[in-house]
Amino acid sequence: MKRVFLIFLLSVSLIQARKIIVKMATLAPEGTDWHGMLVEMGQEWKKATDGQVQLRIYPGGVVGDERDMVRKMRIGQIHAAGITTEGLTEIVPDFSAFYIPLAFQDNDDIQAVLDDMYPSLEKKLNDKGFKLLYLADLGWAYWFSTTKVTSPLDLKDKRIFTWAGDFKWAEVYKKAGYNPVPLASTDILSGLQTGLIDAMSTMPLYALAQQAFGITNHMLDLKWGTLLAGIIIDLRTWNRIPAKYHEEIISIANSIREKHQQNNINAENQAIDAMKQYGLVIHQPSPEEIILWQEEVKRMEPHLRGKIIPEDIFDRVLELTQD
Amino acid sequence: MGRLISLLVIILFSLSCVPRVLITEHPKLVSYYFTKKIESLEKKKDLTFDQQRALLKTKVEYGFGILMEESDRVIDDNYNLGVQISRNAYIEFNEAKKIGNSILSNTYPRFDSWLKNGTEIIFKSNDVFDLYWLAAAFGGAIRSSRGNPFEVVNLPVVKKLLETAINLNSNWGRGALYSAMMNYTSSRPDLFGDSMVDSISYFYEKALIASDSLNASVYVSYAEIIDKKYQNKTEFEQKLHYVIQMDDKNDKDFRLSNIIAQERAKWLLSKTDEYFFE
Repeated sequence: MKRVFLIFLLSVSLIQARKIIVKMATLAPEGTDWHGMLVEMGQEWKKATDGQVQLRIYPGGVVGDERDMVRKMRIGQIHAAGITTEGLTEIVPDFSAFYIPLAFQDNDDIQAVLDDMYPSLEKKLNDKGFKLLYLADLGWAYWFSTTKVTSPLDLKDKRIFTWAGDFKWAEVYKKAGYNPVPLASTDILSGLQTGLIDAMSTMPLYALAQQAFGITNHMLDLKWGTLLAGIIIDLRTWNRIPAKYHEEIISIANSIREKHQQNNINAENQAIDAMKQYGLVIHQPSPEEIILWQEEVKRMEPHLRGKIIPEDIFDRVLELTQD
Repeated sequence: MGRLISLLVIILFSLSCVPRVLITEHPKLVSYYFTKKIESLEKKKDLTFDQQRALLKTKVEYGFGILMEESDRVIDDNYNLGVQISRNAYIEFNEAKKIGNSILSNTYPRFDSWLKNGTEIIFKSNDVFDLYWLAAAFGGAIRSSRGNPFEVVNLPVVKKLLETAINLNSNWGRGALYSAMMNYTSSRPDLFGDSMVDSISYFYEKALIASDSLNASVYVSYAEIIDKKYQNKTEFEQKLHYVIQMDDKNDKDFRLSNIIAQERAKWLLSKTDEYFFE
């Protein structure tokens, strides 16, 4: 009887030992679609691995910003993160490929660069100790301002928001003749209210969530930039997961991403429509103004190429998106 | 027989003398009470002013107290089912918004314009009930919509309604307005870190004073909004244990909401390990 009991105890502890809890951080607030996507993914992982892989999500920046997430993954405090290219660039600078202004004008551009660079980005992340589960676009960034902006000249009159701590971008704008004002994201609204800043390049969903649209109620309908996000997991944790589940885990992550991708596109359009109801004015640039913007980006090139974005990556992106 | 049970349930809940075990062990009965009450009001052709108010309040209470509570729990194990329940709550909140808007627009024909900052209205102190429940309906619609931009855009409306109500009678509902301000403040994009903690703590203290510290949901809200977010595990556990030990018979007004808050506290405590990463 004693032996049976011991065998039972041993088998229970072995089952317990095989259970892998993956602690994942994200800035996405609880209750949003992005957070929901991770919750759903965790439930599917649990099902597919017979409960061996359990995802624990820490939403809303509980773990800190994306730099903190990367740091905490490195020391093993968390094991995975749903992060944007902002955080991914901290690990592999090549992710700055997606920073080039005006380079991406439709999903085909993004896809062309992803198709070309994904294997290399994946490998470089792997070399740094991270497994990339997927990468997808979150949406487009546009210029929002307090008064009409349709040409680069209009923007030069403005005090534009740049991320505090991201001195490189502030320098790029400064050298190109703009007035960057580095601020923490939590100071954007008060900065707009007090006139400290009067323009910002951001995604419509973010402008809505920031409640900035009441002040920056002019939007230039020109895709200035794009933001991508992905899921990474540290290799130590990834390798603890039995290899037989790896393919299924990646496949689940991708199918849930596809399901939510459409929601994301809809949400961006809805955000613009919702803000229009509250007075947001959308300005279409003329063909001549679009050329002016393109020339402006060309003038910014020496400050970007090799400074913020590795030279080979910069050239490759332009090559892939030229058409 | 079925009608008799319905009547008995409605009487029990209305008189606040329903046995605790009936609420905690048979949540479907509580849900049944709310749906029956809503149904009976909706069946009436011409609702009186008081009936409209009752319908507004019941829909919001049902949305938060039953549907969103259920959704929060279900979503952890079955995301799609949880979202579906949340959608049901969204329907209730949106209907409540329409009722609240209609009540206030009847009294103030330019109410809709006031909401969009287009005009000024001088409200009276007996409008606080409608302003509060309409704010709660807007807040519920934002939360249950799970990030729908057409709802998120209404966040400033919640602020406007609550601040107007507070200016008219800050202690109305024994701290209900302050408690609602705690939740609104947690969604403010311009607050973070200490400024967020300070602002919410301000309303927390006010809500506790106004409710003589008898409203359990104030503690639960603070534990979720601040202690969980800022990873104060000890304070989180302390508050929730305190809530569980509160005697639900201490205050008749808060009895039902306190029982719901105590159940939520138990559920949150069971998830402590998931919420705190260190």
